[in-house]
Amino acid sequence: MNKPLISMESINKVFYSDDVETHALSNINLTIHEGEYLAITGPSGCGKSTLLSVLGLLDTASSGNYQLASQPSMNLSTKQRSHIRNKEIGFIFQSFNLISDMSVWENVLLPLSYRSDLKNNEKDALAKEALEQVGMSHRMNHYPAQLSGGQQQRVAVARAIAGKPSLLLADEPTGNLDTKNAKAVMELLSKLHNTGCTICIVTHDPNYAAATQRSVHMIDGQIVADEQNPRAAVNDFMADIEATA
Amino acid sequence: MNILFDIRYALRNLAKAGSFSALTIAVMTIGLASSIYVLTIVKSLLFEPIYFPEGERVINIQRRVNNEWRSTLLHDYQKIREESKTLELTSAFDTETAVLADEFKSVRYSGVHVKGDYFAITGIDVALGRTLTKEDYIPGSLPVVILSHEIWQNHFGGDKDIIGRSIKINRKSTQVIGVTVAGVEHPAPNMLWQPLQQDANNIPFKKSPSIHFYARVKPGVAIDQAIKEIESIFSNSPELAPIPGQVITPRILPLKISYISGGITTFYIMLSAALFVLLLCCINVANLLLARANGRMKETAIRLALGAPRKKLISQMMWEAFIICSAGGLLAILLAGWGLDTTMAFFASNSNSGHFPKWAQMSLQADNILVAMLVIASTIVLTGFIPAIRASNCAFNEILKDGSKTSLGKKSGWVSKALVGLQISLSCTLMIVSGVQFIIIHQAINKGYGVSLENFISGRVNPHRDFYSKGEAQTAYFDRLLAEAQRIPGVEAATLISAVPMEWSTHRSIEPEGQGYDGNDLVRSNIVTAYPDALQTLGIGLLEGRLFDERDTSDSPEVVVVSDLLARMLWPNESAIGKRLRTYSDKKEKPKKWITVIGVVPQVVQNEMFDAEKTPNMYRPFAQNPRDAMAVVLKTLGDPALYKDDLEHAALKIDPNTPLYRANPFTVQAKQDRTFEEFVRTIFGLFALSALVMAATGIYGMMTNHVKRRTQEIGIKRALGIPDRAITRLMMHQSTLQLAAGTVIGVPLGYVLSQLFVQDLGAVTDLYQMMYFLVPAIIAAVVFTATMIPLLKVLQQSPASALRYE
Ligand SMILES: Nc1ncnc2c1ncn2[C@@H]1O[C@H](COP(=O)(O)OP(=O)(O)OP(=O)(O)O)[C@@H](O)[C@H]1O
Ligand SMILES: [Mg+2]
Repeated sequence: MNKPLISMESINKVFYSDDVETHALSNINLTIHEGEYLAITGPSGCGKSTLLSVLGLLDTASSGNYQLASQPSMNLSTKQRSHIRNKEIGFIFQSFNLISDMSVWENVLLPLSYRSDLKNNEKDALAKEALEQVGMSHRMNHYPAQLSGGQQQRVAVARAIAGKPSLLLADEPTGNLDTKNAKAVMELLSKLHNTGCTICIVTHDPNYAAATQRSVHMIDGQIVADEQNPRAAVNDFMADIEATA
Repeated sequence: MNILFDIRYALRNLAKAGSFSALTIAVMTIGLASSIYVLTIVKSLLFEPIYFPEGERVINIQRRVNNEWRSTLLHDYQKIREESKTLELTSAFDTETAVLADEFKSVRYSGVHVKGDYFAITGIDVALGRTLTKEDYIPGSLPVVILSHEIWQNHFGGDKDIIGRSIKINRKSTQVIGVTVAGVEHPAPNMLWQPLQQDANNIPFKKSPSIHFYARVKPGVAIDQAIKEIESIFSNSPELAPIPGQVITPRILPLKISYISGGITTFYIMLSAALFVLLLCCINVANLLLARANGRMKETAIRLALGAPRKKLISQMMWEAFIICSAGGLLAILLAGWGLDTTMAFFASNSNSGHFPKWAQMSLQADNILVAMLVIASTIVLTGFIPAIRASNCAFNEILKDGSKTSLGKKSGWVSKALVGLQISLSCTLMIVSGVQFIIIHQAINKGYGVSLENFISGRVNPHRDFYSKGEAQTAYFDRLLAEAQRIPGVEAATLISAVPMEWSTHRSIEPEGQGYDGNDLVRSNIVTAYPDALQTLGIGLLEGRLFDERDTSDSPEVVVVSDLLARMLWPNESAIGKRLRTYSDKKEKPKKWITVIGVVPQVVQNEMFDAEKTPNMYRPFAQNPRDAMAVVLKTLGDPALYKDDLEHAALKIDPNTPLYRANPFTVQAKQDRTFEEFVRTIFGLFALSALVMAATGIYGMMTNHVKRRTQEIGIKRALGIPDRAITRLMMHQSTLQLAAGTVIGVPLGYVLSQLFVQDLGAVTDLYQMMYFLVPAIIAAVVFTATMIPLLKVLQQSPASALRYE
């Protein structure tokens, strides 16, 4: 077993709005090891996206302990958090979140442009590679509004993986895709996983969940089940993909 | 029903965006109120005719000698009356002291001596008796008078048998033949009218009296036509220009304009500033509404997609615009009306009569309000409807599909960026112009008059020349008055002078000896007649030579004390002492005899505040240059206001028929004197302030909206790990570009415009130049604060909540 990349202890997240308290996460204990591929499932509104935000340092927990790469992350400065997000974490959002007045190319290049460890030509190469991987290089100069929902999703995936993050967080990455495209995305994730990337996806589809190594099931902000998937299911899924490809 | 629903919906929408609505209404109120206010002032003073019957055809005819404005002469009047074919009515008049005295009281009024069609032109009507007839003008006929309604009421207790009664005016028995209707105010309230019996045909030109000359142009004749005709009468009448080399031309203006001719430039600057404010207000409102409409683009698209009829959406937006417009408009009208009332009250309280002149009355008028409202309404139509219509025309599908919600950034973003740039530049210009104007006037007001005004009180006396003829009798009177004044307990010193500092004084052209008279550019100087110790008493200290003393009598060589300004103008780099000069009157052919300069004193403000640097002063001893009207001045130990009664009493004691008038402490006179300047200063202060408020609110509103619209984008960028510093830099970069574009246009424009009146008025110091740096600095601070505050708000949230922002 690799060492833990993420370890959460009694994480709570409470939203306050209009005098209503929403306990989006309550007493979450979760450890994710390096190189793990994990699916979070659960009914709508159970807190999956919230958990992902906390995992990806987009939001802070109301209470509890969160260690990222053996580092306590609760007290990181804004600057440190954004640096980690930029370099180590890739995001695929539930609602694409492309920037509308940037072209596909600019969108993908955007997170890379703030990497000081890469030269410009390396950045270009990474962005190009990512777009090719999702099959969107031919739409490089289009604007998001000119793309179909699925195409936008693929651009969002390209943007997330372009920087070769060590942690990829994907909130329903296949939500807007047809089976074929969805499988292509899943395959991409698997490949990424094989390169050593830790991946955490939120999905409603039990098939996709089964294709991962581990399923975490949530209800009402709590983890109610956390189990390793049988190796076979993963292999079956991969075989299925290879057959259709 | 349907409409009610729409209104309710619009109101709810506005209430939801509470601060936006309040801001828009506030900007509209300020912009509209100040423009309605100034428009009303300028329009009623400059563009509305005098209240006389057919007032738009009434003109004031004055005389220019070599292009300089001089008083009109009776001979001018007579000539034009005889020869003009374009004028239907003409009238000459002049005012003189008229003392009404009986065994009980003695009051000084102004008597108007009128000739020609005075009553027809002014529209003054009698309530009792009759107006003047031909016979009244025949010299030697029974003296008659028409009283104003107010004098009849207050002085004669409304005596029912007043008509035919004989009263004493300047001790002369005069028969009352009429009483005017109430409220007559020409040339001022509380007048009495007598025939001007002098006839130019019986007077040599040299003795031609100064008069005011009003005329009414024939119906259907353009004023320009009349001007041309009168110009040709002047140029064809050599008898009106007896001094060789003098060119006499008329100066003809619509009557009301002639009253305020000195202030016209100021009013035009004010008007332009008001139009600037209005424009700024429009841009501001446009910008705010545009930003709001853009922010709701997505919502509009969704509603359209859900099948809402376009007409409905547009009408709902229209109601919102309408509500904002009427709320702002209503407040603006109230504010402007209040401003006008306050202004008139301010002028009234600072005037000698405590009364706001009828000719200048200003009131809000429907058409001014309408124009201003129309401008705003069209702004709202353009900016409120265009986005609505565009949103409903363009494929709303595209807006909906655009997952990032930061939709329609491109085109509308460009427009609003340009608008913010324009707003910054206009604010800069307006603030610079108003600020410079404010500083210049403020400094002129605070510069003082060159002497201390504390602990002085003065009042004027005008002993009638029929009883105190020039020479011994007159001098004896003034000497006695001085002696009485000196006896008032608590008086440190008393003296007589023809015009106290800051007061208007006669002026003449001056020729220095031996420099060759070339007829044209002679220096003009105020000529003040002073008792021997007057200058010392007033604190006008000696710089060189000597002041007047007992040596200077009517028989001794004629002497003059000049101000350092005059000395510099006539004899630069030389001592003025011992030099000689002589004065020219405008109508006499031969200049007066040479007079010798014996002393130099500092220049003090005589006449207008801004005139001090242009018209120098000279002082003549009373013995050599006696005047009919003099001011008696007391230097007091305590509050000078407390000496007013004693001073008035001193005059009455000597002669009940020569009452003192305009008795006021110097400080009060100064306050009255600078009323207009203070008014102008206040107005420009307000303009500068409203420019600042508009710039601040407008830019802040815009930037807030801008940042709001980009909240999600900022969230995405932060989620992708772009450091906050980079995001801040990006936003600042944009603001800086707009700021730079705005100031590059606004500051030079402000500089050029402000230099126009800096040249005209002259500045006390160069302090005003600070505006050229201060204003851009203030605007820059506003822009950066306006960018940073909303941005910091967004950056304080977690990226997750920014992402969720709709
Ligand atoms: N900013 C917020 N303020 C208040 N409540 C919030 C906020 N964000 C999320 N919530 C609430 O927290 C709960 C969890 O939300 P979350 O978005 O994590 O659900 P989810 O599991 O991702 O659902 P879905 O599958 O529909 O995306 C919900 O009840 C939601 O209403
Ligand atoms: Mg979710």
